[in-house]
Amino acid sequence: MGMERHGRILTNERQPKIQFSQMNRYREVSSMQMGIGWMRTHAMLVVFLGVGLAAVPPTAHSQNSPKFKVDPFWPKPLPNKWSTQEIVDIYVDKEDHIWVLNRATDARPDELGAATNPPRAECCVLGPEVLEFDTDGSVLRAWGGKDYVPGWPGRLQTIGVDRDENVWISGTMPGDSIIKFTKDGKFLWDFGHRGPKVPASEVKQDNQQTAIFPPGIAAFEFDEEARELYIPDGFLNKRVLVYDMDTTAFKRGWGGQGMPLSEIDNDPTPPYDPSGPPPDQKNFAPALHCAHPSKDGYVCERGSDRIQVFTKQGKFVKQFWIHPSTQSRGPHCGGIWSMTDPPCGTVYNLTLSTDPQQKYILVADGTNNMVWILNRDDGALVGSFGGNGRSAGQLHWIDSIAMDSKGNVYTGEVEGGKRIQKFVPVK
Amino acid sequence: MQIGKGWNRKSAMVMYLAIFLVPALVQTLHGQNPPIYEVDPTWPKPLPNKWLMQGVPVMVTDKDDHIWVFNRPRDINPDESGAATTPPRTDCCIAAPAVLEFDTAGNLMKGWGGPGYVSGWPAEGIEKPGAGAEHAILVDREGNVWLGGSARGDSIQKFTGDGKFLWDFGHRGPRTPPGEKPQPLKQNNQNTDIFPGGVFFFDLDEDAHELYIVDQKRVLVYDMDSGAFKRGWGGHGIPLSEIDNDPTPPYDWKSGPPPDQMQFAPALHCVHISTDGLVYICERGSDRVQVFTKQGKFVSSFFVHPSTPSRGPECGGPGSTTFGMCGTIYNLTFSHDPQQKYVLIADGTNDKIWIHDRKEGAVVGSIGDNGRMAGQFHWIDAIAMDSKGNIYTGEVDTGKRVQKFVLKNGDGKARPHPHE
Repeated sequence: MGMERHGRILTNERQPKIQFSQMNRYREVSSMQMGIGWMRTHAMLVVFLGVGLAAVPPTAHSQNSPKFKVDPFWPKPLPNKWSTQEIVDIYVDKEDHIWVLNRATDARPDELGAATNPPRAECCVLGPEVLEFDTDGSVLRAWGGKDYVPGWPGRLQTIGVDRDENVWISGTMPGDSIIKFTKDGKFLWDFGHRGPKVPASEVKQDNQQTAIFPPGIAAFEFDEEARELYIPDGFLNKRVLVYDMDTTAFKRGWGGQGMPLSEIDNDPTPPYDPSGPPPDQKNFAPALHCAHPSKDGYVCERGSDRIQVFTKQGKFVKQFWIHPSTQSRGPHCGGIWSMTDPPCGTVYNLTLSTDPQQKYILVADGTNNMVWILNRDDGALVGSFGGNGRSAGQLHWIDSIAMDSKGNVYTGEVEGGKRIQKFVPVK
Repeated sequence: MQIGKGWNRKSAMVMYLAIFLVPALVQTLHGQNPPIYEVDPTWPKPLPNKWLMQGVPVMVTDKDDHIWVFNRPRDINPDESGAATTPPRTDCCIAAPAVLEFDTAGNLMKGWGGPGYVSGWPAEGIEKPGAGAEHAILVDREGNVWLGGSARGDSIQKFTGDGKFLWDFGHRGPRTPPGEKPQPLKQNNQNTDIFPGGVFFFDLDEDAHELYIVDQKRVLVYDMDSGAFKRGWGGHGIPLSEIDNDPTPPYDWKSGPPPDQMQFAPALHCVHISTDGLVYICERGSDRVQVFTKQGKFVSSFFVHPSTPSRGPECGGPGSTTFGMCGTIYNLTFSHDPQQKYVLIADGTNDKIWIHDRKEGAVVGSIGDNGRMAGQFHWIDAIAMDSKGNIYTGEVDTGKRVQKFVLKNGDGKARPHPHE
């Protein structure tokens, strides 16, 4: 598994030899045919097969299309020799402070040379996994990390900050859930609903039970008016679940196209011929990566290179395709650090623009390393920025995106990208 | 010196100055206004043709202040080469050509070369990351480009600036048969006929028509036209016959800097000739620079951040998940002033450029830190300087970029130091 040659042609016809034990984990899962192990390990890709072959949205590059340029000096260098690790999620709070998950799971010894005794090198030490920045790029608060409290996620994935300035974080290892802290990092509350701490390979799909989240909780978002917590349970399962955000009681849920939970199958999602856009199917195709309630409804970001929109009650409204010429799932999909296959899917996360109408959706595409800007209304592509690379303003494995009230966009990169960037609107 | 009648008030003043002010001058040297640099985050401009920069082990500037980058196309990973498939999986990218020429504004002037470009091109090298054996680049006064490879059977090849093949240095060892793993090399510091491990670093003394190569535990000098061997020496200038062929012993890095030893401690990571005719050798295995005359007479040496382990069993290579790297001297460049007052050392372990006074050897400043932001470094491996004092850097492992740093106090006046 994982070492056989695939038909995909790379730049040069050589089988890379990988000697790094940490990479083996990714290599092995990367060639699984969209099995559950793949979805569990790869926090990135959002794959969904919808109903009806939607047309690719029209391109509407108008003169008014939003443009952005990078601020290469944001943020300021971290204090205390802290390293910047995988920036897997970003959330902007009501004060326009930028909260960042600085996932330490893939820290490398060459980045932690100041952590030995005596220090081998000038920099760095691991540093906290939750960082709060102001708009100037200074660190305001920093806390959290492995064993910070019992139940700290084994593999961080999502951060949210509520109106009371409490910080919620979740993770994607079996046994992970959501835990809530004050902004200063004092533990407040545990969502619970945890599955057993077992090897990820032992977790099976079950789209009907709503008591526990065996794969962990990849993503969540609040609807604070309704005191509801939305969880797209879609790294393994194929559904959106809604819980009371105070009592944690289950309230409702639905599957692809708004189908009831009882109708969701528990089978692997079949691959498709990537020479065309992803085909349709009734069920969601994992992985589902985020859920973002908009002001007048509910947007749920999905895969098959696609975003689907629902009402808060789960009624299907519409869908947009995001660069669907990019393969969204199937064989030959690599995870981070894969030496055999590139990643799949184009919808890693999204943010809604912060104008009163929330006119735009900005989509983080870690496969093309672009931010796609769509009209929220009709899904038309109106702009983009980024590009694959390591220079300022380019992106390597963009995985997170958020916008502040002034329209500044913040992006986070994983794998070897490991940085956070700020893009300011250009008049 | 006889102090007689000639000993007058003026001489006394000179003596006074010599005794009391020279130490003060040295003091000033350490406390003087070292050069201050600031990153230009807009350099270079995005590459055309969906080309993506890969690992950059060495880069140089030419007499026109153009920047020549040797990048390793085979470092590319599947997530970076999505435009190379049919049909393209993603919008971007394909690996950029191996040789890239930029102007100071960051425009790409030329791009050529890559695996299989000509017979004898550097072979596939070590395992990923760092899969490509493209390693050393140099541009001579006539604008010809010299390339060295770091795999078995590699040598130095010379091209025109446009990439037309001109000459092969030869002295090649055997290639590793396709599909086979390279066998460990046995040291042989006496043989000067072939370079079994390839040629990692070299420099030219064009006035003397000589080619300097660092190899194993020695410096070798060849005729740069005929390829004929001329001379060579080992650590501290010992003759080739006295260089041992044994592994370099480890040392306890926690209790102090690397011990002084007669023999060079590999890896030797650069050779550069200063304008005043001294030969600078990056002895990465000892966190040290050794300086020689062109004839191989030992002149001086200085440590660079020797609290960092320079060698031994606890040293990781690219992608290592067990140990960080070792050694602080990946390459160096001299400052642009006529006196070449400073040596700037690329330290890929601390991800800094250390600025040392060239005469004193003392550290006077630094640039950068570990990270992926503009102005930070991840595995800096390449450094070059143009005639205006701009620094150019290249990064390997997952760094895979080039950066430009602009001299902010070319007038020599003080500026607030960005690191203080």
